[in-house]
Amino acid sequence: MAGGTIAEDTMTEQKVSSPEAAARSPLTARRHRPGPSAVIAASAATFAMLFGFLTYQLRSGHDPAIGGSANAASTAPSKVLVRRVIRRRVVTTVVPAASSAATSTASSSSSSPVVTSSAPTTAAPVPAPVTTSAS
Amino acid sequence: MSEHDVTFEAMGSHVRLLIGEPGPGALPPPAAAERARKFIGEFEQALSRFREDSELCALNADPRREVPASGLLREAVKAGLRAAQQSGGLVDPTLVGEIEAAGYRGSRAGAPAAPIGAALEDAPLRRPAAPHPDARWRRVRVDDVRGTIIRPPGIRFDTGGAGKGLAADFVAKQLRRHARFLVDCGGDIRIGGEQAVSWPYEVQVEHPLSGERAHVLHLGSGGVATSGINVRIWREPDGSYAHHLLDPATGKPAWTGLVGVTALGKTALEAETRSKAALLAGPEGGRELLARRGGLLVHDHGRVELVGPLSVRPRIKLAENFESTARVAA
Repeated sequence: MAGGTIAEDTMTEQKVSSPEAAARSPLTARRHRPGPSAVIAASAATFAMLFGFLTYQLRSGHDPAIGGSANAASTAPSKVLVRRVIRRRVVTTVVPAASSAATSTASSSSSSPVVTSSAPTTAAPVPAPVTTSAS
Repeated sequence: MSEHDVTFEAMGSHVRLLIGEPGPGALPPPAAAERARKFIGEFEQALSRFREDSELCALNADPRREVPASGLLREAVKAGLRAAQQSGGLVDPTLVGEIEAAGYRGSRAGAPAAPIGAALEDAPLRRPAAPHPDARWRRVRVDDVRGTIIRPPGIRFDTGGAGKGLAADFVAKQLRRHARFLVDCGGDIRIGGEQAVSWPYEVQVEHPLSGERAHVLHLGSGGVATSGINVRIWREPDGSYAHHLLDPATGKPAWTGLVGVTALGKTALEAETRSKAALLAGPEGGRELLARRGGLLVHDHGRVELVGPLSVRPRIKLAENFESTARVAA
């Protein structure tokens, strides 16, 4: 063997032993294309990694959309407004008319007593329910 | 703020007045209530078909074509004619003969009502009412200048179809200077006062078949009235059932598929007219009549149908007695 390196010799041997290899050039070298399943797997893995990273970021309070730290515990206390909504309904039974209900007993209307009442002045105003019905 | 609450019997039913604080020039609530009570007594005395000494009975018995009439009677007749006009003749105030023939000759106040369930089972085929072919009401005129009522002798007038609503509106006019008021004349209700708009009254609608609450309205102004066949209903000697809301076309009690109607209106009279007309028109016609101002139709089988603005569901609705604490970070 002449004074070349083993690599050179190997390359020479390769050149000599494979006519197809002798015909190859870097430009015409066949590119290795990954299969569809490999692409899918790689994409899914990349997505999972990114998703997991964003989840971690949000959980630790570093919302990239807001920017800066969104950790409420580290900020100064904010004012809290408390509004209480209370709805009370008072049902007042109106003395039924003798003719307005099938279950009421008939009564003479020759002398009609007047029932008057005033709501207590100290109590909060309450709408008095009234009933509309056929009469 | 206190509200004066008065209830008494009149016009064959109950009358209730809720009167709030008086404004400038208004009577104190007790005095205003007494004035209203007195007015309603005079109203009933003058316009009751069941009192032989009433001005209305005198008009109906008068053989003259043109009859002098008081301002109150002329207003009542005009209200009845307006109701006929607005209802296309369905609410006809000239059916006195027919209603007496149907069995409603005297006041039925206090008389027990026949069972509505049995009456509905026995009722004939349902159909909407129609106006009287003669439309006798068109021949009645009111002359306010001469202070007379002109009609062919023999045509008798009945204010029952508009009486309670008209009375409620008259009393409402007396109470207009009060901050808030409600006038309930036998279920025909008028509400008013500046404060009522921001502090509306709760009005419960009674279901005509069960007597339970069918719906709740919150009204700050205007009128609401209910017509139904469940109260003034009786059994005839031949076993059939009759009630007071007649089909003008036939002169017989109307069985339209509706057992009760509640209507809203700008005034109590308008609401009363509308509720009667809607009941007589039946479900389809009733929906059209109530579409603009809203109301309830109660069908024979008990179903309650909300019509018009009442049928619009609110986007947010609090449960009754809802109590919550809202925290808002500033």
